[in-house]
Amino acid sequence: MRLPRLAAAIVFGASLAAGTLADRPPVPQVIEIGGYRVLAVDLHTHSSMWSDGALTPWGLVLEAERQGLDAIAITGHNDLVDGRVGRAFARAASRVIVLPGEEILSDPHYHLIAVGIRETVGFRQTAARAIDDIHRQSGIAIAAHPLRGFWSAYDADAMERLDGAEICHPLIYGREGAQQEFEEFAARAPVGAIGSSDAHGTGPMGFCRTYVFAREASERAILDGLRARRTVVFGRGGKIYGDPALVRLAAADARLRDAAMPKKRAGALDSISRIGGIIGLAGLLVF
Amino acid sequence: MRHLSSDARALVSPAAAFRELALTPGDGVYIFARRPLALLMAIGSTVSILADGRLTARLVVDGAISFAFIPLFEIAALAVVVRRMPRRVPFAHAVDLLFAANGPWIVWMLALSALASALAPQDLPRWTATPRMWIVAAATALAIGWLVRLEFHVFRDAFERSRAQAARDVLLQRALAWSAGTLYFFGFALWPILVGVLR
Repeated sequence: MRLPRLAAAIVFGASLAAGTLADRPPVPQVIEIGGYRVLAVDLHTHSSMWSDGALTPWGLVLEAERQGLDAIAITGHNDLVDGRVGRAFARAASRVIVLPGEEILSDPHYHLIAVGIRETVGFRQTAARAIDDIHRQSGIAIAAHPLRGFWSAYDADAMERLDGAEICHPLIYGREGAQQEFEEFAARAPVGAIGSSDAHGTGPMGFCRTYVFAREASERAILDGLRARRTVVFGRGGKIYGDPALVRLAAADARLRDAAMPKKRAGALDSISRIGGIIGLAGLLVF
Repeated sequence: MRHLSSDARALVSPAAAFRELALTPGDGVYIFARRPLALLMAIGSTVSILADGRLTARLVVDGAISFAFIPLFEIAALAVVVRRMPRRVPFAHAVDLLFAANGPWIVWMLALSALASALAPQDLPRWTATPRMWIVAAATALAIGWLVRLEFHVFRDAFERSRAQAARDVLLQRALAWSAGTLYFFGFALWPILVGVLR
């Protein structure tokens, strides 16, 4: 091996070692507020198994641990298999609760998150009927990134049946007017506030998250909390959405805000690993 | 130029680089696997930096598993294409030559990783919406064009095909590999779109 190539390999290897050393999940926090167990959940994630994500279902579970989440829903596109795989892995090897689910990409046009279901829901039906199917399975129906273009699919019947709507989604940081459109959609009906990262592996999971005020840390308690709209979401600029009484409680607790707000990637080992990794990889290509 | 790797030489002077690579034939598992694995390492590294802002073994391996379908489909498509060629080349060597043309993708991934490294998490989504999305799209189009040019030289200069044959080989290779990859990656999400189009 030539010297420059060897040097590039060493830089890459050292960067990988630094990043791996820094890759430790935070110590799990048990947060109890107002008699509820507050759980940080991300209800919209995609894996690479039959969905267009960049991480495997088990990779999503490990990444959720790393991001300090208590639960995630793995929501394949019109598909439940990856959620089931993720749940089996989590039950065997993780503290994270995995709720199987799907993102229904429909015809006519709407994107609907179904969480806590056992069978896939048909996509060639109205949103109201799809929500009825979800409820028949004791699941939760959440409008995914409800931009104005999706609104026509959510008629009065659908709005009346919806359990929640995403009010915090990475789109609010990327697309002008998205936050306002989500707020206007949520104002049409008393839906629960939901924050989801729609994680495809191109940004941090839990970047937008939902705090569910649950009776205990279990799948059933999370679904009950979502059904009762006992949720709080920290949005852009720290604005808080959700049940007004719970919003007041959440506002007074710095732990929730600190974990929910996006952070700069500042750790020294993190910086070394990513900058060194890029330099090392470039060196391996060039030399 | 002599101090550069053959992959880097292929980026700037593909005809000469692939003629030279063709003169050093090899066979066996190492030759077959070395460049596909290097591509997977680059993909895994990019996934790791994008997903978590750091290079970690956990995410590099996970990203590589997630995108293992890319080299698999490329190798399968190559197997179809080389069967149409009169000149017999050890398949491991053919795979090695084809994957030496992946430099543009690696440059593209390095640029993406550098961009993600420089941004705070909340600034990343801006690059998935207009107008910045067009910069990413233009860079992707550039990488695809560059890749196709390099692959043309793989078939033209390493496999000694005529210009027309080389063009057809690239077209077939890409049509097979990218169609299968797209179908696999977008999977069930394509179904409602197809239904919508066919109605």
